[in-house]
Amino acid sequence: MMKCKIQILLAVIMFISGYNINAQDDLLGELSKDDEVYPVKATFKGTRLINGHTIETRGAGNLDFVIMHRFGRLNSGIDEFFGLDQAVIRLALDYAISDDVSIGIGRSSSPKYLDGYIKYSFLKQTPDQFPFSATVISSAALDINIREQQPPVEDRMSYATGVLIARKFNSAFSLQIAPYWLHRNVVEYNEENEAFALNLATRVKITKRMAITAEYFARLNDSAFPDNTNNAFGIGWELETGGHVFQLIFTNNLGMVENTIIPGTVNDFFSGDIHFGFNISRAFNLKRNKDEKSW
Amino acid sequence: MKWIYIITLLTSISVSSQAQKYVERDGEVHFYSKAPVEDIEAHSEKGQSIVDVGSNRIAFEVPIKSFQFEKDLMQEHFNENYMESDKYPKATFSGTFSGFDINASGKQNVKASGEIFIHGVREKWNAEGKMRVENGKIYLETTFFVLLETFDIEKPKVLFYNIADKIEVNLNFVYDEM
Repeated sequence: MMKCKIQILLAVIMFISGYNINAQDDLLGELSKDDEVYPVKATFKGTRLINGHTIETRGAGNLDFVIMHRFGRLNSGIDEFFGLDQAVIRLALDYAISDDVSIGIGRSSSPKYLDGYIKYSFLKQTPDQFPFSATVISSAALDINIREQQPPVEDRMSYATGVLIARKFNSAFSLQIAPYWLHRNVVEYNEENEAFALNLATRVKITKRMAITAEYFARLNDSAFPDNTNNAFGIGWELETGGHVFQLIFTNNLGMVENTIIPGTVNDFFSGDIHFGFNISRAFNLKRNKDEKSW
Repeated sequence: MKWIYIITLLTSISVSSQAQKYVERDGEVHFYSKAPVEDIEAHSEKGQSIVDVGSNRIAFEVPIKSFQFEKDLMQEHFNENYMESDKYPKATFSGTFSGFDINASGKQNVKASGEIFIHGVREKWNAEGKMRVENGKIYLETTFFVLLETFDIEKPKVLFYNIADKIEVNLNFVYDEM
């Protein structure tokens, strides 16, 4: 009799569990079988972090108007209004030819530079499939400061190439590491034409729309530059408001093109030679999303 | 006692064989937010659904990241800030429906009730729609409204565009027999 009861109990359990498989959640379970995996987006918020680039490119047809502004040194005293009397700016337009390729053109003041770049995002981080994203950037800059005896154009050119590798560890924390190679056609007698640097950059989100950022350019062949120059360092506060990204930054560097960022940092951040500045980017959509139909 | 097993087995087999399931793997889902400054709309063709005509059960699922926006940055904000799609990758609904007869012709008004799951929030949900049968396929269309606050979707205060509190969602699904 005992055995019989157990058997009935087992049968009931079987029935219930058999029934359960066919109940509520079952249908949803059948749908989740072949889920698509989407690449990680928004590793960084802007296409630039502080002075340097991030792995980000914009969606096809996106035109970004970028204003980069740096004030003088904070420790320049009240006479200079703590640096606010001075201003160095770079105005730029970045256009996304496709979702993965962007081009840009920019003009900086003091020192005057005209620069252009092409950026190609060729690897995408994908959950459980690929651990990082990578972008290559290649830029050229022309020194257009007016001199008495203006050297020919080719003597005023510099070129930079960087391979940017980044990983978004979670929704709040992203890290980028990027080797850079800078070539300058003509340099001062005590410098070298080739400069190698390692860019380290990070973003830590503190709220949904705010983040703390930091960036460091470590020069690998430091001896190729004059003794009074330093590695570029900056920390920033990023605010995103839909269409705009505001980045308030503190850096020891006035450079906004690679040739002034990597070898051209005169100030020492930790002695208080800090420049306050900001980047603002405003996005315009010149092309409607290709997936959009008549809906 | 063996007969109990046999009956049980037969019952569970018959339950599943009675089930006439229809499935849609690339259903259209779109939503609108009508606001004074800017209308925002997004569209996905990755909606999935199963209807079980035998037991009148229905399930939906759409990956949040599959929504395409006109503006790339909106899509980013939608995923990052509003829907937190890394944390909550899907919106789902599962429940039962009534008012549908597979053998009837023409559009039929159907009602569904069950649970909807969006942005980590589970809610009891009722919706109305229209279903019809044509060439062995089931067509479903439905429109419903979602309030942002129901699903803890935060609306930022500092924004250069506005989004409405109420989002209109349309589904257009065509089911094939499984």
